[in-house]
Amino acid sequence: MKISGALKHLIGTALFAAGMALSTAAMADTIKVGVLGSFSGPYAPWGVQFRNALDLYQEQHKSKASGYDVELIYRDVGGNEPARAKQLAQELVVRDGVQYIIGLEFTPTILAVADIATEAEVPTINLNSGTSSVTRASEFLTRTGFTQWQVAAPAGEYAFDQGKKTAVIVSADYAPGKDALDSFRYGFEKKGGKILQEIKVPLGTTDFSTYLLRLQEAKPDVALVFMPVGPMSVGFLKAYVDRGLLKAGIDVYVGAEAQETDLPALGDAAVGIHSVFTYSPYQDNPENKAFVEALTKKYGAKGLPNLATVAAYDGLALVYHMIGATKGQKDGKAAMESIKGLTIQSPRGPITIDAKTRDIIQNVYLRVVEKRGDGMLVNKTLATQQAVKDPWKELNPAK
Amino acid sequence: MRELRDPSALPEMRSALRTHRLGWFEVVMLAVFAAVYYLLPGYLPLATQVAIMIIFAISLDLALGYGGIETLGHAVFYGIGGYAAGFYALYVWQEPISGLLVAALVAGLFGVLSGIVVLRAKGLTLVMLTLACATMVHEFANSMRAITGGDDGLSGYRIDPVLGLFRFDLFGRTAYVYSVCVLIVVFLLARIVANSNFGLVARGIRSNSQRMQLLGVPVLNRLVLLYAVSGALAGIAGALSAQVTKLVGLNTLAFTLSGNVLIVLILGGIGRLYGAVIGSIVFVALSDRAAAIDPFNWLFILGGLIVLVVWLAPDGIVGRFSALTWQFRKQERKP
Repeated sequence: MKISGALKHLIGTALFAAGMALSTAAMADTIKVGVLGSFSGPYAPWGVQFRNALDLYQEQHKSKASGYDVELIYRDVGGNEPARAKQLAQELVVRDGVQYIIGLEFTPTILAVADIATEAEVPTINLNSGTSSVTRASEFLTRTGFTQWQVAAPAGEYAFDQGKKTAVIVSADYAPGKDALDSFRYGFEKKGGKILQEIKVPLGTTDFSTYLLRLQEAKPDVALVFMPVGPMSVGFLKAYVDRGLLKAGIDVYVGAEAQETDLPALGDAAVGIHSVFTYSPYQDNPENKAFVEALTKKYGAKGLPNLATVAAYDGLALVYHMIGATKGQKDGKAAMESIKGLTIQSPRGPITIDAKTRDIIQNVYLRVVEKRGDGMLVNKTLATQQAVKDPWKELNPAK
Repeated sequence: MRELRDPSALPEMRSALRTHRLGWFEVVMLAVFAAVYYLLPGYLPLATQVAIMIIFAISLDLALGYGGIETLGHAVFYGIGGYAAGFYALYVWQEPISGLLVAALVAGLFGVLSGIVVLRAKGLTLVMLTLACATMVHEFANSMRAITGGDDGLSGYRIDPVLGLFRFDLFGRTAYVYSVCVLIVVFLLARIVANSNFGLVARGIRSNSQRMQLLGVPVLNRLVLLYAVSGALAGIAGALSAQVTKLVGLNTLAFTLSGNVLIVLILGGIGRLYGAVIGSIVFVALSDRAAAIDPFNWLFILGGLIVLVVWLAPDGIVGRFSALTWQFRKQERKP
């Protein structure tokens, strides 16, 4: 059968028209929460974790916050696209009438939305961007992830406390990497350690041999490493252990890079990698046990949570609290007031929203990778630093 | 020699001799833009993105559709325009319109400089050079964190009300009207360029650059000029985005954007300016709607539809349409 040109054209036009005409139906009388995240593209794993946690929280609370119905509206930013993030936030506020916004992985996207948060007085919860200054962009911004300084500065301190006197810092060469560099240095030098060298690795590097050679030649006691979680972090650690640096006595301290979901890729050689971070799915507390159990029951083995999951779970808990505190009314100022100084029991341990800076205060754990009886690689907690505030904000007080 | 008697029978001659008059298309588009403002106030931020994309696609159409400059790095101008507007607002003056002009100037200048280097090449080499050029600027912006903010983006600047009267509001009304006005100016400018002798020369170069050279046309010179004009318009698009978003990220220089604008143009139809308009509307609006319906799997829908368009209308939507009207007219004439 041969379709004539005109008919083909008609089909094409009709399909487009149908696509454009569809729009989402809105529901009335419920409190709407906009969720902005990367649900497609290379950063989709973030979105998946957000969604896992948020859907679970909604299910556990039957979508009711203090008696008010809560509806989540998901919008896909599709990566680090500030213009799109701003457009979606604007539409969520203006068209869908959301009272709260949560989500966003990247510093530029959250900064683009900050403007909307201020103008519309919509409390906005940053789930991941680790740049310390972000929360200053709007008085309606808060954070349930972590700041790079919050984990990397203690990492430097812990490394020194473990008897390491000299260090080399290896970090990916982009803005968060620079934060990591500065904060590792701050923590390590504060204790009296000496940084021998800073090695910057370009984003997207897959062959780390030249960098590891430089590291080896510098002969430090410890390597402090920051890589974006994903192919680079796994690739670097794999090259590190394969090259025998760990066995040669150069310990390595990382942050989120040693998360459990990535450990199987490293194999048994990963045993002995130190990390300083805020969350592990094997953390030993009742909230976490229930959290992990519920997630794995709902999503299977893929449900194993990471930093994104727990940040989203706590983020929605904050939103629920704000809804209760404002009795479901749209009052951004009162909502923000209600969470200042609030402490909730998170799966990662107690977290508090700093009354002054609106930033998160949380425990930071020193962990080491070890092999459990059943052959699983897990992070074992060695030490805990209680209620760590973001050191950058202490060093750079607001004007 | 039927072709000589009826020059319009040769598609290339047809497209070269066709001039763009103000026609029903412009009227319909103006009506659509006005209707969106009054009927779909909730979609103004999206419509603003569409307008910006149209400007960007028009700029690419001038280079690719008229001059045959195959580029995979057009975002470099968009990004440079954006950063220029950002720096201008941060350090010099927050007035938006002068910001656009400065951005156009900077991007145009970069077009001249990079054009002199890359436009000596053709075909695949040219594609690779434009790509390399964009990647270099992207890396430069990433490494100069102290100035550009690197991966954190350039932010913290204010933009004054347009003409001192209309401040950028939460509903995106000012941003929309402002962008559409800029779009109209850019569209008219692009049409003047495309219809001018210069535009005709550019099309000649695209068809047969050797022949144009033999006719005495300074080919490289003309191509560089066209590249600069195209770059300046792209810079305006980037500057608009920077002013509306109040943040410039590295993504404005990224390959994804260069790729997207190319898809937009192929979707709409290359070398006819209208294609840029239709392509942008379809691409941006469709992505947005598909993503709103299913935020998790919308790329499948979008990808499927693009495959469908390329299959059903290889010349783009506008190309399909004009081919149809052409067929229609021929049939009318026959009996």
